[in-house]
Amino acid sequence: MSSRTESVDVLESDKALETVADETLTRRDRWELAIERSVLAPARIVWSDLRARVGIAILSGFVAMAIVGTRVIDEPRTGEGDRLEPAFQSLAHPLGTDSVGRDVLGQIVHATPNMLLMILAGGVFTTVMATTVGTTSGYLGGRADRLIMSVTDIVMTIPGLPLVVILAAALSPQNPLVIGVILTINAWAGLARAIRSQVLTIRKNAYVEASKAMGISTPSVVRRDILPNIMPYVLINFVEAARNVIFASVGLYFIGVLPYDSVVNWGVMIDLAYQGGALQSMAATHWLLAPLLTITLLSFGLIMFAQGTDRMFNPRVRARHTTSNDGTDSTASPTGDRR
Amino acid sequence: MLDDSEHETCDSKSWRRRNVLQAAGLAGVTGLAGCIGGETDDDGDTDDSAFVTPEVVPPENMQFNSYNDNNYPWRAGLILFDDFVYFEKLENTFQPGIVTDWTVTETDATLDVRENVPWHDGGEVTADDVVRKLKIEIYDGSNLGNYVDVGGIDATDDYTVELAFDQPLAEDMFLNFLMEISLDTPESHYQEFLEDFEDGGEGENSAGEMLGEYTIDEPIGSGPFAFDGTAEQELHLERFDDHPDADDINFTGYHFRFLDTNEARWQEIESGQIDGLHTVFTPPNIVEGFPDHIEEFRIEANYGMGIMWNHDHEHFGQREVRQAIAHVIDREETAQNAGPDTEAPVGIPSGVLSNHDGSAEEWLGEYADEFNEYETDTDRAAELLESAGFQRDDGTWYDENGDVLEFQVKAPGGYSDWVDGIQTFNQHLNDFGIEAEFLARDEAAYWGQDIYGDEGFDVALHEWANVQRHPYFSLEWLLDSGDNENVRNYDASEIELPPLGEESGSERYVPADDLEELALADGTDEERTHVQRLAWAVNQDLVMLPIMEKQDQSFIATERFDAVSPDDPDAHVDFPTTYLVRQGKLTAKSE
Repeated sequence: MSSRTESVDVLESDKALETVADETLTRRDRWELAIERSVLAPARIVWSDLRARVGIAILSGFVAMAIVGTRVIDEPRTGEGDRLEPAFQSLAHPLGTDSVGRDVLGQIVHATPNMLLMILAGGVFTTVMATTVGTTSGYLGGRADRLIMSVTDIVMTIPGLPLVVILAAALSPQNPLVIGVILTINAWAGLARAIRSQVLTIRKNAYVEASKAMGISTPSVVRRDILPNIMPYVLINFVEAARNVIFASVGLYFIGVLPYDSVVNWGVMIDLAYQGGALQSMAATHWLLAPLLTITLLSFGLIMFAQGTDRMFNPRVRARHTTSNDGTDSTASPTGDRR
Repeated sequence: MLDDSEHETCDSKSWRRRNVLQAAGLAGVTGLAGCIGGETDDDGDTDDSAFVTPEVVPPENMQFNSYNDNNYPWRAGLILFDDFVYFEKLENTFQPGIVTDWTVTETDATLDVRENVPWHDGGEVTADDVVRKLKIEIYDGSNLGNYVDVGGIDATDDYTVELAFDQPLAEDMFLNFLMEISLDTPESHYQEFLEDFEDGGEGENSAGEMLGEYTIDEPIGSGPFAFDGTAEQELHLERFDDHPDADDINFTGYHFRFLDTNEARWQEIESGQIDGLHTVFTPPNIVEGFPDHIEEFRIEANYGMGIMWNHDHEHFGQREVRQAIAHVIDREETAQNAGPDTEAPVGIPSGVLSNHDGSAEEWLGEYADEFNEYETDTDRAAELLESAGFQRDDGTWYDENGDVLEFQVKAPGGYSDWVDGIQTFNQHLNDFGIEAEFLARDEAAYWGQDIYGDEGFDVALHEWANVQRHPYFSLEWLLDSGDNENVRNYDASEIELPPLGEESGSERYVPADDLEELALADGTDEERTHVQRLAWAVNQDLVMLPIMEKQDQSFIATERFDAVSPDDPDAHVDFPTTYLVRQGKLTAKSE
């Protein structure tokens, strides 16, 4: 009886926890570990995958085009070349010119920043909304879950494209960030539901129960125990959302629903090229192909990146890479923690 | 594609002009495969053969009341109904239609009606039908009503109509009014409306439908082809053998296929699916790619793209701002980019047509040099803006409140010639420090909401002339049409300007008075003086800024059909695909 009372006393005091670890970490060690876990390990994982390397290379190319390219290549102007100069004929207009003598390469480059902003806005909006709604709903359960999911279901049943077309026509947005959000206005609902169902299974796991039992706050539990499990899924969906923003914006510019003031989007280029008879006459083909290939390349880059990073959130794979710079340490735990 | 609201704001002629522009439509669906082929019979007919052209109204939506702007297939109307007279644009002469001869004096006009023209329901076209049409036109708001009182229109016998003028009207003017009129008001459909108008009503039939809302599913036509029916995506007309022109027509069908984008039309004529196109803007790279058997016909369009301001706007209500913008825009480069072969830049922005052959300036006579040509001159533009209280700072113009001088130019995104034009002149404006942006709009939203609806605009594009060549009509459109009040917010009742040809001074111009006098158009110096005074008002005050004038492009594929050369005068009547048929100059090839 007395020994049992002693044990309870020990447990209630801090000593119980202190005695678990046989070594302590300095502040510096903790930082190193954090960087190791959250930056270097993922980077190594990503770099070890060819698809991710290709994806990163392509995406970096586009970012460079947006940041550096727009400074190096002049903004396209009407009349800077002859009408419909073909591609690969001159250094001044490597991709040729359009029907008002504007450099096609210049248009591709100068539309990039807006495209990237639009993609980013759409992707971030979708994933943040979906993750927040999905995890909250799944983790809380009960009435909150039912209420949130009812709203989600309603949003999900609204037909997406007509809604976007109506919003685009009614609001006539021109800010790329706003356009990005509008284009994905109800894309989050489906993802939120999927995330919720994943959270429902995860929250029953022993380690989640343990965290709860230890009195760790709900946001911390969600962040530490739940989110890492659904991140791969979220990231893939981020990329999906980004791709959808590209296609939707290009499509809406093409059918003329979104207003534009200059060549701000490859969709505008495609629209103008199509109207200029790029499908009927070889003389204008380069004008249509240039934006098409650009879109394809960006989309391809995003897919490669998403597939490559899929492994990044896999705890087992990450653990291996956390220690890969320290070949002698064979005692790494699956979570990357040292024993 | 037109919005309901337009009907209230435009007269009956406008739909046609506007619909002509809609030839450059947007967003597409393609149609069915062709239906040509057959054998020549004893009469020289090529049985079961049909001439196929595009139409922008889907067949299931078509209705055939031309006073209802919604879903009226005006292209089909060109062959389904006969016009009163036709205007031949090569030698500028009027050709007979339903009206075969005319005598116009200072006080009245006498019209001879073509005999033996049948209505497609079996009756014969008589003077009463012509009277009915003329009266409905005037009740519907035609400006012909300024000169002719409905009470003064009478059928004196079966084939003669007399009109008494309230005010003298020159023969040329009178015929210009007639050329826009088709005989499309058969008694059974329209008599009730006319009677209601005559009883002081608003034009309502016994079913309570208004003229502008009434729809006709099966038209009773007066032309050489009659309504046969609609097939999937196509309207089928068949030759009406009793029509006097039918003897010259050796094919039996005229089909309209729903194709609402230029791209689809180019594709189908190129691949032999259709036989003709009319008023379809086609850039040189496409024309060059067409096979040799596709013949291009160009006709003076007698309209063109201009910049339209909202005169209620704090900036564009200022004459100096409008003039400054005119000095910045290079019209030649704009026209060159919009249509290298078919768009002519406006020489002197004066509202007078004929910029393709330079004869516009002949109207201005000895004053031509005094008119402001608005040559590209950014120094002058800067002076004008400064005099209006603007300041340039770091290359950008600011108004008195310190706000950037910026505006959006609205235009339908599908009008590719306009789009190329806007992109070009916006560049000129941006270089000068005015932040002009192109706002591409959906075609229906543009006409229905922005121009003729509540959405409005600051700067937009519109054609600056009507389809009639005489300066009276373009100047009337600019200075005395309903659009000034309803669309442009421009008060043209009285304009203070320097006297004609002078740089300073002040004189009061009343365009309506000059137009009234101009309607006498008798070829005298006085006629010219009125044109010059009105043109001066346009030139100095720039109610709109005329940018360019276009040539209409039509195409006929001569693989299955024979057509005369584009030099034939009859090929210069709107439009070769329908008028040449009536003249026996567009015939099916016998196999």
